[in-house]
Amino acid sequence: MKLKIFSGVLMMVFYMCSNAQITIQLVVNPAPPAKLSEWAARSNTVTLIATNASAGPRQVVMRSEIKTINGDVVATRIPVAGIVYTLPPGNTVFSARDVVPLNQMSFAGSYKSGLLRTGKLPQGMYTLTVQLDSSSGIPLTAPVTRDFTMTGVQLPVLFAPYDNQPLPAVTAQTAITFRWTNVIKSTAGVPSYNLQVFEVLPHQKTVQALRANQPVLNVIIKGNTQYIWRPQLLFMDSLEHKFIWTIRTTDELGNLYSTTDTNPEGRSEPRVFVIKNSARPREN
Amino acid sequence: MRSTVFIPFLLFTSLHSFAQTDSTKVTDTLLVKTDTAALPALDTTTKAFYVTGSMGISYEGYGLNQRPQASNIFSPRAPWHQGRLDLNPVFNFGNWLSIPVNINITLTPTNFAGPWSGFKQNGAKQSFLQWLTNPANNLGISPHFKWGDVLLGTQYVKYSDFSTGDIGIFGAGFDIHPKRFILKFFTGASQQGIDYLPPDINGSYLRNHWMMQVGMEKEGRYKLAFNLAKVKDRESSVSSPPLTQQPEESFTMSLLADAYTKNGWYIQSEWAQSYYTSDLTQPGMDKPSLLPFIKAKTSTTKDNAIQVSVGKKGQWVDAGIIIKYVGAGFKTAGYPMLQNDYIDAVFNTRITAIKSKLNFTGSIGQRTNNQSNTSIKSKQFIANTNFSYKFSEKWSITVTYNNTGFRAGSSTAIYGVRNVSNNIVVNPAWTFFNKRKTVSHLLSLTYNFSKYKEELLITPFSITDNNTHNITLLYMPSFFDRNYTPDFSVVYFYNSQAGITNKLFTVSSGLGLSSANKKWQFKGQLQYSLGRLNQFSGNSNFIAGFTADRELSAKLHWSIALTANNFKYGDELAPPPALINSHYLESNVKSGFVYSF
Repeated sequence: MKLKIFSGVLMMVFYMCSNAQITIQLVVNPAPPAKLSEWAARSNTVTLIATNASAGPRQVVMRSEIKTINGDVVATRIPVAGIVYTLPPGNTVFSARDVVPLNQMSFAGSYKSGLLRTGKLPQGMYTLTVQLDSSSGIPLTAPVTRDFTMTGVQLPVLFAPYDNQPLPAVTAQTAITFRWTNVIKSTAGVPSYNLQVFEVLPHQKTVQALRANQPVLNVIIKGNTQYIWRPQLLFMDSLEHKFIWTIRTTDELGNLYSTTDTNPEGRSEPRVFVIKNSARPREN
Repeated sequence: MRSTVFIPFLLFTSLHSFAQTDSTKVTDTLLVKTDTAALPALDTTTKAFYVTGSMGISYEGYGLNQRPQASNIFSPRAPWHQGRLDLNPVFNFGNWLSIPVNINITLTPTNFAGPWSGFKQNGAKQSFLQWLTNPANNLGISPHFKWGDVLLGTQYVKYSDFSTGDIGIFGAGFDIHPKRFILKFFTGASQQGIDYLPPDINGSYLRNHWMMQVGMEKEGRYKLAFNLAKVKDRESSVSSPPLTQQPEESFTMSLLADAYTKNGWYIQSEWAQSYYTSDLTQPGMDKPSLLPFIKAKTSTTKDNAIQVSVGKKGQWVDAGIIIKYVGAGFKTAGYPMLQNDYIDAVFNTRITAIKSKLNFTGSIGQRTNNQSNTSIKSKQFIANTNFSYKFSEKWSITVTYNNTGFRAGSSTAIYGVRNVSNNIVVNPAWTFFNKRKTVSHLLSLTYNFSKYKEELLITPFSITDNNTHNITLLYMPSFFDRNYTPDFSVVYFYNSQAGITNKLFTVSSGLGLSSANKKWQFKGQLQYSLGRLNQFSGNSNFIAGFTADRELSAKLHWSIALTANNFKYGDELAPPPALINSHYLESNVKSGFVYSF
């Protein structure tokens, strides 16, 4: 009996000594990118600093787990043979690529199918827990847990002019009103909307005009979701003028909102409007 | 700022002189083997070779002067100089082979969106390949024979709404349709590898496309087609990886099935499945792969999109419903701007009645964004109606109503928001003649009321309560025994929202004129506009436009368009006081020759 107690105390002392030699700090972006695969590409999503206070290098295995705020397991890192990290004395910094490697994570049921389909987790609050073990599986650090919230960003939906809306030339020469919805996000801060209008020239496709032409209107509107444009262009000179318009949305720091929801440049799905001189063809 | 109008004037004067001295010479110089096309009255179907289509060359000059200078009160919105070449002839060899050529070239690139062209203002020069695939340029040729086409150069190949269709690709392929069979293939590049070169060039990977369609079709009865579209970025195409872009890969397959009956019923449908890898540098996985077309990475998603429309078209009534679902992980490089993760249902109808005097078109629909619940769900309601009634030859009225609603989040979330937009347009028009029926007078009045309300679902609720009134009066007499056509219009615009009122008043008049021999066509327009924002002193805007079109020969036209736009602010830009009454002058000149084969 005494031997058992002695052995237990010895193991506890050993564990505590080991723990004391390695410590970890975990920093998780509270609102990380909605698409999990993007975590690896961004350095500021997850940062794990492991400090090895011992004189020599230590070999460790990383364990990580994602849970819902209610404690349901979403994903667990599968121990893969041969994946051992060596911590030299001092600090070693790991990113999401090491902490949450998607090809080594086992996702639970519905989360797995959702991830394969959308690359995202359902909207909600989650926790990420990380712990370092020895290569033989003995815990070297206490588990460290951080919260984060998954909410994608919905870029503005363009309201008016609606797609392919005809506008009378006489009225449009004075003013054209643009309307769109707010960017839908879960964080505070006033967004900026970069409203861009491009004329579609003869022989051009609509998206080609957006890609190739210099915009006839390029303004930044802070917070507001309406803009009255005085085109200062004459539209009665021909039967039809076609335009394509879109919005680029940036946060209060000037960064583009989530790039995975639409296209790489954070543009809302563009709309086309046509200015028609329908009163009468002015040909003699 | 620069003024660039003078040089173009000199150029046009010289061009014009050249054209006037020997227009035949111009024609001969510009044309390529078009002798046979000079006889339009002949029945071309019996000729061994003839040319149709058109070609044109044009110049556009832009000038901007601001006072105070360098105040940046207005940004230029066109390049200082731009030259365009449009060459669109169709070479016809009897009735068995035609070769449409489509060449549209701009001399000054002005690319704005995307890293696609390698061009940035003040950046490095484009390479020849970058120039070829620059979306500003089209260089395509598409020989067409009885049951097929060969596609070479820049092509906007559209197979369906979900596979490919919105992107210009420089490459080669074919469309053949022997009898009822369809076989299409195309491959090429939509962008070149461009190194990241700070501060101006973000860079891009070489993006290669392959696409194919196999199916059967009987025009007006049915179409059944299977589409494949693959896109892959070449990682080795750059030595300095792009700043904001990862190398991507996508594979989309879709099944298109349309059927039409003789009595007007139709069904059009497409189901598509996309495999999309947003970052090829990430490690591989087993799923979701579709070998041999695409091997999964950790950034690969696989999702579906479906579109079905059913309805009936008739002489007096059309009715149909369109349902569209695009999954959250659906993404295809053939439609780079396509929004995903929504379901949309729209009902459309058209009614024509009372001997075609009454026309009604309407649509009503709902769209749910973020259907997958991986983000913030929102609902959008859209209704459009257009009603017109022609009481008699003299009187008609058109009423248009548009309602759009949007709601996202809930009353407990900081992002909960609701937008409602209502827009109604009433347009009575009166046409009357003089006693001798030599002049018709069109008098058209348009009243537009628009209400736009945006509010949070939590306190402080109101964000915007916005009302717009717009009244337009248009008078257009037509003189049947004269060669001029004037028009006059007056517009009053009033917009108000909390703390802001914006009033605009515009008077505009135009005059079209042709010479007695119809060789010259002139058009002129003047527009004067007054604006007032809140308590600031008024601003004013004067625009003058003039165009002339000269028929140099039956097939060759020369045209010139001149526009001047002067805008003078009140005191709305002040402080600083220097900006009180600041103004800018924009000038545009466009001129060119168009030859119709």
